[in-house]
Amino acid sequence: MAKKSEKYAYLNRLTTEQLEELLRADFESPEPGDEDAVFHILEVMERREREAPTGRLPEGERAWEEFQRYYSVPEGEDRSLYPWAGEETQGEGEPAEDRTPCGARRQGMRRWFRQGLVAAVTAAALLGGMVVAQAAGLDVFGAIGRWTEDVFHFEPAYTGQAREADTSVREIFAENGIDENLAPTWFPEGFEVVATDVITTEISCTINVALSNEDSQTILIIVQKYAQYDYVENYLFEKDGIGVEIYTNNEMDFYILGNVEVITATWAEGLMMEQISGNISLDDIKMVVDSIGDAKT
Amino acid sequence: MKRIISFFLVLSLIISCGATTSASEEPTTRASLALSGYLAVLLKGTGNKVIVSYQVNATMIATSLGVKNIWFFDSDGNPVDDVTGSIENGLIRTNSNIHAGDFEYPLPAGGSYYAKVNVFAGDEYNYSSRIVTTSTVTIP
Repeated sequence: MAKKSEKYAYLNRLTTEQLEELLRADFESPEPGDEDAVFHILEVMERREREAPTGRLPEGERAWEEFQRYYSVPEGEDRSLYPWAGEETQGEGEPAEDRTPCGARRQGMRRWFRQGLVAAVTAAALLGGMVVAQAAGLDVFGAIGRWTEDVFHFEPAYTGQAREADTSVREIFAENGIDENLAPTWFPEGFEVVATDVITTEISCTINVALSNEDSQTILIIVQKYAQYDYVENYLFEKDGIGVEIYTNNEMDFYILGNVEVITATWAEGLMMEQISGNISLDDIKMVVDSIGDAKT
Repeated sequence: MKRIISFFLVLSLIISCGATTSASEEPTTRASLALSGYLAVLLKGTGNKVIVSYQVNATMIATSLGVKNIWFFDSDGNPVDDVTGSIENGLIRTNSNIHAGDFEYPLPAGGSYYAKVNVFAGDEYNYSSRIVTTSTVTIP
């Protein structure tokens, strides 16, 4: 588990405007956010303000004085600092903090971060042309595979806990900002990289690595980070009628599905999805999967 | 005796032909020889434009893959417009296992629309296509 400073290190690369957008979005989000990430953002902004004052952050005493003068007044008692739809229906004796547009307890700045982090991380990835695969700070959801006779797709599943996404990538992946541990380190003999792509769209950032051997067998590795959870859910895998196997390499659970001559092993967590497919044997696919993870060689 | 043997021979022939016919009439599974996975989403673009954001993955290095057609419909299901994919408009890519992109297209303002996106992948031996229906987007 990375230390908090390493976990949120990528936030240091965002501009102050982007960090402000993160805070704003977290506040507006109905979902609980990441308090640690918010505090890290504030620390970064405070440090930058000290190094190069812009007047963006008012002094503490002046801010407190303004709050006392304009907001902490008798007329504002039991009223929210910010307007929302549910305010006019607030019942007598019902604590204000328990009322939100979505009926859930307001989480304050945590909501800003929740949505804004997704937007800012995606924006940074799109702007830089690089996949920011560090999911630290997000409420990282596990993903449950669902399949029918014909297709397979992921559905987000709330785990109740935040988990760090292991997003290291070796070589080609590392050049594009993905941690090395997501990259397989074993392939059947004779395979070489024949093509690589980095593709960014409105909904995803994708790294693609294609390998091939002299017998024209292929192994295709695709790592995708989506802008929203429902895009992960809507991605469909073609599959044949044979059931799906859940296979673990002791760090990640992969779903292994067949599609006629091709076997695909796929894993998803939060906004990240990885798929490894090839017209190779099931045993070889599993060995490729086994080579993914921390300090695998 | 000869008649009985002939009868059973004919009977077994009829049964085997029937079984063969039944097998060929069984619906094939939806598995695809060329398509591995796909996704298409309709987003609101700038002004009166929509964006079809798509991703198409093939099972191999395909000769060509991507989006063959896009059909736009209004919220009542009436066809509004359509687009044919090509290399020139960026919807089709050659010699790859993956194609993804954003295709921007103008639609009449003041309406709600969805799209049916025909994704495909193929080489000289195999070809597969699927149609993805997007959610509805409103253009003010």
